[in-house]
Amino acid sequence: MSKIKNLKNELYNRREVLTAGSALALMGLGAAIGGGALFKYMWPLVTYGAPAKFLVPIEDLPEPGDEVLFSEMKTILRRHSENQVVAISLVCTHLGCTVNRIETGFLCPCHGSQYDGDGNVVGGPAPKTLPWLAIKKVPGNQIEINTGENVPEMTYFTFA
Amino acid sequence: MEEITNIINSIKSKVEAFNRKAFTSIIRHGFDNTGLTKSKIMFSNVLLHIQPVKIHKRTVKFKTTLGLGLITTYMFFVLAVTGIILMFHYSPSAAIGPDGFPDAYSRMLNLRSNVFWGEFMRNMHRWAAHGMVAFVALHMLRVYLTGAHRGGREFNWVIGCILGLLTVFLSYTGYLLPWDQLAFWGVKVGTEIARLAPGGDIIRGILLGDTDVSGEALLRFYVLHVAVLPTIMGSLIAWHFWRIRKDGGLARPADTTSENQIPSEDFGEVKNNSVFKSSRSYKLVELVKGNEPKVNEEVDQMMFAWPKLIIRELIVLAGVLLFLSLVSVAFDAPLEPPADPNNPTNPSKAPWYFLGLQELTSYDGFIGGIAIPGALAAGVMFLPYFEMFFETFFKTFRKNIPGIWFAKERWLENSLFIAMYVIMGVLIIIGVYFRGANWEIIYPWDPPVSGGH
Repeated sequence: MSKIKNLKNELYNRREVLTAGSALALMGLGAAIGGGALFKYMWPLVTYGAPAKFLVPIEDLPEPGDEVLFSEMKTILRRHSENQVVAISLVCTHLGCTVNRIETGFLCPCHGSQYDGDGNVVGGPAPKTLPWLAIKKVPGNQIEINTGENVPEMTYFTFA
Repeated sequence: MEEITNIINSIKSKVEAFNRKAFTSIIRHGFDNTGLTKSKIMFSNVLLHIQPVKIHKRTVKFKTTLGLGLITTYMFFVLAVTGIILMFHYSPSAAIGPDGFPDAYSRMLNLRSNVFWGEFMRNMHRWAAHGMVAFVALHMLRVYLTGAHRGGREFNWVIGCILGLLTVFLSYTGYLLPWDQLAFWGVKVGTEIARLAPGGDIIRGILLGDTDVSGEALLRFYVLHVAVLPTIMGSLIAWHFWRIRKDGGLARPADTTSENQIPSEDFGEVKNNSVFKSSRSYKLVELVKGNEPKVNEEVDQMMFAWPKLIIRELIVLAGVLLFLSLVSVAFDAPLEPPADPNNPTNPSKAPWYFLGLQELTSYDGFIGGIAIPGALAAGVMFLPYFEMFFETFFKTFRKNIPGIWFAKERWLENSLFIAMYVIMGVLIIIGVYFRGANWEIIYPWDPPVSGGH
């Protein structure tokens, strides 16, 4: 009986445990450093995406009640009244497809989200209203639409 | 005169001796009918030694496995070979070329119209990928319905589930590569779903290499598709097979004597030069489970793997190749218009195996895209452990009968598992045939729409 006990002690003596433990700890440290470095290596560095802002000269605005589609910017610009405009993003709030303009509003071809003309959800899986985009007036009688910045819904931008 | 004959004879015998030595340096066994030779053939060949020298007779019966795992493996081999061939004519670049198309897309057009057998290779790769997804699913169904995921094989089931997930992820990274509309919007939607998961923005950033889907994503998915994932897949396949060997071959009931087997005569005479007549050659095989040699009636149920099993496997291989070739000649792999980051096609449908999930996400993004698929994947992966848990904690232990189709004792588990397949199948059918423009419900007999292949 005592012999077995001794054997056991020999198998797991302090030196063995310390050696194995420190070796494991070192390997763990190495793995953590390596993993972290790999993560940083893989993390995106540069943005190649489309610029978030675009300009529209005021004289190019459509008639009140009409719309212009900026396909590249995935934005629809509507002249709400004589001196008010609104820009609505066409990026579906569900999973990022581009919605199609139809008579009654917007429809998403990927998962069937339905919005009314102001971008409010009327059906389908979309969780939120289509974003209303920030607009500001810039020199040269132009307005600048920032697709990266949202404003609360029903905030019409008055340009004159 | 006699001298010349002698010289000729001696040269002849030397040539023969040399040939014999050279031959045995390559192939170290004969091809006679003895058990020893049949064993040597199996374990002295690097391709064949993966399989045991002797197998249970029910292994070669079609009913046992329906050949599904084997077919899946062959699909993987076909995909590896055609994939490497396709790499010679592909470039993972989204840069717009002189023809106005992204480079990757031009390569598809090039394969289609200029490269000799290019279209055939692409078809073969695409259809084999679809086939592999289908056969992985069928293989899993077979394993569950025969109860082969239990009795020490639980962990191999987990490895199998990881292999299944890898298959799907390989398909997903693969259909991005043509950089057509299907590719772009598939990645767009897929990575938006990832964003909904906890920590999803990090996963998305690592996968895309950019703030949005761009050429960086194409490059990353390419590396994953041709290097990272196939390596992991190959290693796990080896592990999967190795564990089958260590678990003693295919799952089977403890007593197979009453089963209707293929009669021994059908396998031909085996000359037995062993001193142990009718015994299994133990020293040639590895350690298997149990602590005593199998000397009971089971020995009669064993047969040599060479040549009957190998020939059957080759027949299945020929069948798979023939089937894939015919399909690839008859049907061209889909190619949608080049990626347009502004406008998805309408409707925008994923390949069929994702349409069930797309149907689910069309009700709710998080529930359909993360919660249900995640719960299903985890639930199925750890299913044998759930069964084990209930048996251990609630003493609902039932005798497990591995290798038997639709065991009566497992009617509840089997019904639930079949129900899961049926539900997924119904969702897929709805997604493929009953969804039209703007994802509205249509009927298949309405005018056809694009997508859904």
